[in-house]
Amino acid sequence: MRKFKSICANTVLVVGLAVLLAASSKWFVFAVWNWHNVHGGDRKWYMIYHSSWGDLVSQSNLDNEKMYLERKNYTYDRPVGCGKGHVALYILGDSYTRDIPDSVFCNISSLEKSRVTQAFPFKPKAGKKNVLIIEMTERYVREVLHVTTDFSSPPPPRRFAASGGDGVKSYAAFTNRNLEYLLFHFNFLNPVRTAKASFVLKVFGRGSGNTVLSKDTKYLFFRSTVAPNGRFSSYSIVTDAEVEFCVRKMNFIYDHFKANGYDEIYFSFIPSPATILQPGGYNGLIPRIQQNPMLKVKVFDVFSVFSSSPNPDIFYRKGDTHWSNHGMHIWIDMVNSELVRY
Amino acid sequence: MVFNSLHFLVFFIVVTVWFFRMQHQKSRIWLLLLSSCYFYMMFIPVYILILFFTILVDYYAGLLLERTDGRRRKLILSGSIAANLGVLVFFKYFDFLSTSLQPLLHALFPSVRVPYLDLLLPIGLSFHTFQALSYTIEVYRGNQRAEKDLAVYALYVMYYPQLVAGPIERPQNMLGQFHEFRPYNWDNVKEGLLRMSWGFFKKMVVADRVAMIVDHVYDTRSHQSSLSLVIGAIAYSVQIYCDFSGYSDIAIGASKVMGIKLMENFRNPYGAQGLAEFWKRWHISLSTWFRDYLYIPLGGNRKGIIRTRFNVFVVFILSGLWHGANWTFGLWGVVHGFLVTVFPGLKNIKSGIAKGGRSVAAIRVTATFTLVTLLWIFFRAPTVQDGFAYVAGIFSFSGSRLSTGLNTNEFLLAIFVSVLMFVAEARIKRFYFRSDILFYISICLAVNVCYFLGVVGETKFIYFQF
Repeated sequence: MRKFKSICANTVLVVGLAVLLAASSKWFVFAVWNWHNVHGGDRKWYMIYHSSWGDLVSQSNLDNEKMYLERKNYTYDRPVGCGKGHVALYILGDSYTRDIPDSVFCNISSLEKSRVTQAFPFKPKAGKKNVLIIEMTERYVREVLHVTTDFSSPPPPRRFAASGGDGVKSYAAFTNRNLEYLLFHFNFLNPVRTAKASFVLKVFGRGSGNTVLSKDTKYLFFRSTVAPNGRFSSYSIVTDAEVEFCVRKMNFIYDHFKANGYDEIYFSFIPSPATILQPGGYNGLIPRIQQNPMLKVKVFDVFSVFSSSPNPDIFYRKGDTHWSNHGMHIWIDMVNSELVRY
Repeated sequence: MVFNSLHFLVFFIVVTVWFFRMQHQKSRIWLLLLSSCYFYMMFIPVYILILFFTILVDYYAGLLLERTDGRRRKLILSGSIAANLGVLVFFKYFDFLSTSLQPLLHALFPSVRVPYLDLLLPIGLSFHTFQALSYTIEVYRGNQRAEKDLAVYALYVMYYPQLVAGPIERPQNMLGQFHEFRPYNWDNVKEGLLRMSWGFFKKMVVADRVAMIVDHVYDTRSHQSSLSLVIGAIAYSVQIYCDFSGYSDIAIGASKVMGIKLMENFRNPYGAQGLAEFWKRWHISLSTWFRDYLYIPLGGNRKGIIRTRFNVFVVFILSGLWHGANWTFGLWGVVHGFLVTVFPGLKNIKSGIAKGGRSVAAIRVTATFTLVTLLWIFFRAPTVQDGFAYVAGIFSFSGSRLSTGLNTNEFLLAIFVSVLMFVAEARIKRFYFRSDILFYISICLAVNVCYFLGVVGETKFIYFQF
């Protein structure tokens, strides 16, 4: 018995240490993650990519609640009458535009993409019409544009934001998520997770994890986008000074890229689902920026189209922070309508 | 690393199993020290250098104090205190002082501009600073021999269960335990794990649930009725107790598993019959720290009634500011100090049962709880103005529409688990079952209750910010 206990203790120790070490290693966890994406089940780790049922469904474990399940249905057909051209298109964007292929854009010769929160690695191409689109979802607008609180001299947009302002706690959170992934990312454990999430939904009438139900309970929202406070929220107070700062920062970014040889620079803010689907109490961040008379940058105004629609449900997926195929194509059409002019 | 995370669970299992596999105390000391470094570095790794700095200063100060006589001892002690408080003031109070003094400085010296550093506060800074201070003071007083082993002293400051939110320990209690080899003891393991389970229950099931009420009410204060504001204030009293005492329970339990006893930090504080009694039951390790290292050196109650009250008042003001660099904490401390010193009727009310029976005791407990709850409002409010607006909202008697942010089922559950927790706290004397079967059943029950009824996430403990 004593020997058995000793073996058990040593096993726990070795496995525990290995798990702690592995969870601290980005390389290892990503390797496992890649393996899982190929061989594993339906659920995807983190929310880097759209999961097939929606990132919010994954995060809240509401896989059993049919009302929030809506599969990713993006189509990337070449628009009719679209051909190759001489526009070098650059998109500095986020997960909304990450998967969009070059085939959907008209009149382009190349498409290069980078994340808006990372360094911009590209240089304009000689002999081409260089068009840059800076796209970001609404919840990141204030965070990304407020790299500094110094309102008088915005820094050059070499890096828009160091780490989303959240770099400090990210390592502990990263390790914790890795551990959860390594220890509990098994399909046989899903019933426990989904049972708890369904219990919370049915008995307490709320979402789990980072998700919140919309007031009409038809949608899942990302918690920080509906919080009363915080820069990510559609309902937190936005001062006029903040709006003005965003506008000045956008102008500054415009000048920076213009000076670096880009022919056209556009901004595009994709409204958070809560902004469009639950507009009561909206802080008006996007329209206030877009309608500011000081703004000299052209903007792809998705907000106006989405918010004026009598049927805004069609622009977003029920269990996802991202837009639907329909919403995405409205944006692509707007971009193409400009691209064909060059 | 927060206690209510999977990361801590794995970390705790690995460290504890490894601890008991080691046959020499020296190895155990190093294991606990390195584990504590890992634990601390999960927040902001580079800040460990601050800890190393103060550890080295205090370690050598202790050694020097033991070897030195006369006035130089005072100088060494002052140096150690200055180093510790210097770090504390720089990180915690610099911006507060600079913004508070800026108008005055600007008026006197228009060209002077004090910078705003916007530094991130090292986690648990106030806790380990006070713990480190108690070491050098005790060595200076001759109550504690200077620790010769640097690793043991470093562990005294960095011991992971109580590193970031106490209890604030004393060298007399801890250093001896670190030197003593403690063999594996199943009773300690059972008691420690049960205590931890109770702490997790308080944090995950009670505190984080009522926190949803608190956040909702405070975030939408201007739209709330008086009734909702009252509920929000009571909910915060429950939250802060369960959050902080839950942390203490987990810390005490985690340490107990390894056979190391930490001091108790709470003794049913909301059962107090007066404010002075409340402070003998709430955050005991801090209250006694202020008593031993501030109140008594100031003269305690030995220099007449006025001086005694002045001393108490000073302690409360500093206790308020210890919690944070904000006028809300200062005001909270001032009002507590004022009530304890100026209204002796609220102070030292002896057993209500003996004096006026159970009903009088119940009235006193209720009155004390009400007072404490009203003052917690300033502790929770982001600004003093918000605090006053909240109190004004309560006394505006503006309707009885109840909005808690929870649905009826969850609101009733929040009430049920809160009452259950307080009743159990008043009755439980020791977290221990002689029967192994009962122990296993309790642990299984606790795991299931915490998972299915707990608010599982990465919510931080309130006292981490201090």
